[in-house]
Amino acid sequence: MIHLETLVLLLLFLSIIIGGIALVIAIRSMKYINLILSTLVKYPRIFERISRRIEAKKKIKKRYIVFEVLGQGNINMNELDNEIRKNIVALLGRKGIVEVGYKLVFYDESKCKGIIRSNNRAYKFLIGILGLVRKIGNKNILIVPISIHGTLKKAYEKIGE
Amino acid sequence: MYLKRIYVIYLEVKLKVVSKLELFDLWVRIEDRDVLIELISIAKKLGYTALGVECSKNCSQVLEEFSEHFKDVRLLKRITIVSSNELEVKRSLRGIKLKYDIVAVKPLSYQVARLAARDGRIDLVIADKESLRFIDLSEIRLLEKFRGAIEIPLNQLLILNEMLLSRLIRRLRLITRYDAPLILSSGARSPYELWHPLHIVGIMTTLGLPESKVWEALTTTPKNLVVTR
Repeated sequence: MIHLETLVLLLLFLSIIIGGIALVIAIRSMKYINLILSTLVKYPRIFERISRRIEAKKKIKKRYIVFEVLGQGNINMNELDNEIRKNIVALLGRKGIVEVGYKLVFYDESKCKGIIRSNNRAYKFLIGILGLVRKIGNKNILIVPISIHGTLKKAYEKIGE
Repeated sequence: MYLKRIYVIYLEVKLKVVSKLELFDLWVRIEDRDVLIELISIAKKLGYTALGVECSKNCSQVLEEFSEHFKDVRLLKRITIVSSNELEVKRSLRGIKLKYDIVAVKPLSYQVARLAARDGRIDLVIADKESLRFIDLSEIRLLEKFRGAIEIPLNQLLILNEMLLSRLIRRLRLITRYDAPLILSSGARSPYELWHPLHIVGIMTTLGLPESKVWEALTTTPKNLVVTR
């Protein structure tokens, strides 16, 4: 019969050995992890290239951009829609509207806030296009993106805040 | 489902990180006191922490007054020299660093462009519609060597024709390849000509500049320029 105290001591001894081995492996692999991290920090373009490849393989999903219009006077939803469409067509052509997946879902004229639908591949580009919209009629405007959401419900919640 | 949630959280966190960054807009042109107040308040809303203000002689006193009033947004005095004559630029550079925080030159000849790259008193070389042709490979190498920076005013993007836009894209490609210091500023004359940082990221990545370089051009490069010079 093995004594209980000896069994506990044996288990303790074993756990110390396993812990030591794990520590050695962790320290050794840290060198490689550090190397990878430092390369990514030093050369962020590698990271960007990898992320771009991952993004290209990703499934297309909808993204909702909540925005605010700063400017002089009230703006109609149709006017805003036409102006954004005009800018997309000027830069990308009519095909661009389909690729970007643009749609002005909602615009609250009293709050000057709205929601634009796009997709996960082109929402950054669409935000860039919003920067080019500076004038509607004679009114100077600035469209400021507030947040990006995955669902329309969350986007409405953001406007309601 | 969980992955989608994580991705949305990641986007939110990214937006929050963006709002905590120190953002610089080193070129804002103002001649009116009221416009300056409106511009500063909108710049604050867009997340900018420092503005390079170019204004007339009467306005410089107002600027000092406002720099005490607005403590969230740092105001830097800026001057832009536009010339095609080397001697004229040298003359106007005398004692300029005592009066202004940022000195920029818009070269209208190759001689002035080279001088601007070599001279330690000049912080920025402007590459806009008229001066873009003088910013070539050797100019970019010189700027990299003498730690100057190229400034691209973004208001030019609204008025460039196809030929100039293609020239700009070629220059951006050179800047990326040689990793030359770049600064993106608005060149705004009114509050509605300011650019949100996400607008800039969207439009510049479309023109071929890597996203990391765009963030660098908005945050670290102008900060280094303001701190070191």
